[in-house]
Amino acid sequence: MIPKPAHALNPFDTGAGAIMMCQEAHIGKGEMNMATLDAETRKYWQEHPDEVVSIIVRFEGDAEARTEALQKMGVEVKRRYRLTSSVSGTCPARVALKVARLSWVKAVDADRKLRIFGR
Amino acid sequence: MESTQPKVTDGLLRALQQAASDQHLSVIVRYSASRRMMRHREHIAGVHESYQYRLRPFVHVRATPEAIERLALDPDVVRIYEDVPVRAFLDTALPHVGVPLLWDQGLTGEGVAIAIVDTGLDAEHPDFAGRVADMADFSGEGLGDAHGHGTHCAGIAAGSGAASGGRYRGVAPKATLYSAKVLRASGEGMMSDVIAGVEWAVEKGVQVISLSLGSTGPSDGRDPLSETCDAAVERGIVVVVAAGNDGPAPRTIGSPGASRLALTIGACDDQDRVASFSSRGPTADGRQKPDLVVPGVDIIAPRAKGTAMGRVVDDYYTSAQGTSMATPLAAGVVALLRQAYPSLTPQEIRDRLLSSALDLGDGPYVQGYGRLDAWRAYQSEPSPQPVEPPQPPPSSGPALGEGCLTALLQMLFIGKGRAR
Repeated sequence: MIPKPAHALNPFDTGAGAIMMCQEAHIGKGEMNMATLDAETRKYWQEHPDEVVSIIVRFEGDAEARTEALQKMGVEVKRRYRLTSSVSGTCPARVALKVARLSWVKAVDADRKLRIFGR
Repeated sequence: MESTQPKVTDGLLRALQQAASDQHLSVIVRYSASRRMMRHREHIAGVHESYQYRLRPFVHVRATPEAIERLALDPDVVRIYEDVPVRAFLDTALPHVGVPLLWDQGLTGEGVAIAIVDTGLDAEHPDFAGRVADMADFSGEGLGDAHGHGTHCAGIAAGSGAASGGRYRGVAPKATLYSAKVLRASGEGMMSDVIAGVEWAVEKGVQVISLSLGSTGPSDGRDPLSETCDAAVERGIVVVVAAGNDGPAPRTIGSPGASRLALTIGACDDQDRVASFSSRGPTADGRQKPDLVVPGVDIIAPRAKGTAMGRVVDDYYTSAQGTSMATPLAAGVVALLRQAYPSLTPQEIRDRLLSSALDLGDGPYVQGYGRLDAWRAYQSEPSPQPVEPPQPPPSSGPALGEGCLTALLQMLFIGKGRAR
C-alpha cells in the first residue's frame, strides 16, 4: 500500500514529511496543457479519486471566468488570490486531476501545512 | 533539610535533588549584612570558595549537596542561589549587528509599516501601544495570539521595549505594525491561508513583510507561496522569510524560504556561529540560499499574555530561538533602511544587505552572503550622505554570549576579589 502523501487529505491530519517539489510537465495523450502537478500527489490522487483534497490552482486568463469554470467542475472555492491568478479550495481528487488537464491551468498544488520556525 | 529549604532557591533545590552526593555545585551565598568574613572553609568539608564580592555580602562557592545543606543552617546565611548561565539576548543581539548605530542616526522605523504574518498578535502588550494599525485573521481562530510566536516576532521587529524600560526594544521601535494571523494556536496553518495573509498585507500598503514560517524542504521556489512572495516583491515590498530549522542537513530550505526574490534568513548566535538548526541550501533547483544569517539564538522579546512559548522570562517577555527570531530582526533592519532611503527598490535594499554582509567563512549554502551588518548596509553605496562611523559603544563587561551569573556579578560588583 502506498503511504498517503503528507498533504493529500485533511490539511491538519498531516505529518511533517517532505513535500516533493519535483514538478513535472503533465501532458496526457491528446491533451495540450502544461500544468504542473507534483508526481507523488498525482499518483495518490489517481489511486484515491473520491477523496476530498485541498488544492491551490494557478491559472491564466480572466480570473472571474476561470473561477466560475472551476466551480462548475466541482471545486468549492475557498479563497481567490489577486497577486497571482489563483484560487484555493476543495474537491474530489478526480476533479483535481481534471483541473490539472485544463489548458489554462498553470499548476495545481496540494494545499499543505506550514509551521513556525521558532521554539 | 526541610528547615534549610527557605534559604535555597527553587532552581538550586532542583539541582540538589538531581546532583550526586560528591558533585560540587556552583552556588552564590548571600550573607547577612553584618557578616563580612567567609569562614566556612575551615569548618565545612566540601565547600570551596571561589570569589568574595565586596559591594554586597555575596560569596561564590563550589560545594557538595551536603555542604550546601550545612551552609544553609548558618544563621548568617540569608540565601543560596544556583549559579546560572547568562546568555546573549535581544539587547545584545541588536548591538551585535549594529542596529543602535542606526538608532543614533535617528532611524526608528517611524513611517514604515511592517506586516507580521504569523500566529497573531497580543495587541495589548505595552511594547506595541498605539502602533498596531490593523489585524486580520485568516486562520479561523479569531484575532489574538494564543501561541505567542507572532507576538514574539513582532516585538523583535518593532517592539518599543516599554515593559522592560527599553531593554528589550525591537529593531524598529516606532514602525507601524500590521498583523495577519495565518497560523493556529498549534503554530501550524495552511499555505492557502498564509497566501491570503500576504495578499492582505500587500493591499494594506506595508513596506516590509516578515514570514517566520514555512514547509519542510527542499523547494524549488515554484510553489504558490514562494511565487506570491515574489509577486509582493515585484509590487515594491521587501519580503523577509525564514530559512527553516531543519539544519544542518543540506537542501532543507522549503517554502517560502526558496522564493527567488524574498530575502531568506538563516540563524547564527551572537558569536557569529551559524546555528546548527538553521536550514541549509541549496534549493531543490540548485540556487544559493539562505541569503543572510542573523542572530536568532536565545532572543528575549515580548510574550503574549497567557502563553508559554519558549523560556518565559517574566509576565511580558520570553526567550526563544530559531530562524523565526532571526527573520523579524532582519525585517526590522529593512524597515530602518526604508525609512532612511524611501526611494530604494527591494532589489536595491537586497543588494545593500548582501554586499555589506560580514563573511563568516562558512559556505554559501550555510551563511549565504554572511551575517547581517546593519551599519554597513546603511552606509553602503549608493549612500546619499556618507557618514563617519561613530565610535563603538564602550565595553561594559564580559564578551557577548554565554557567561555565567558569577561573571555578571563580577562585572556589577566591581570590588571583586579572591577570597583567599
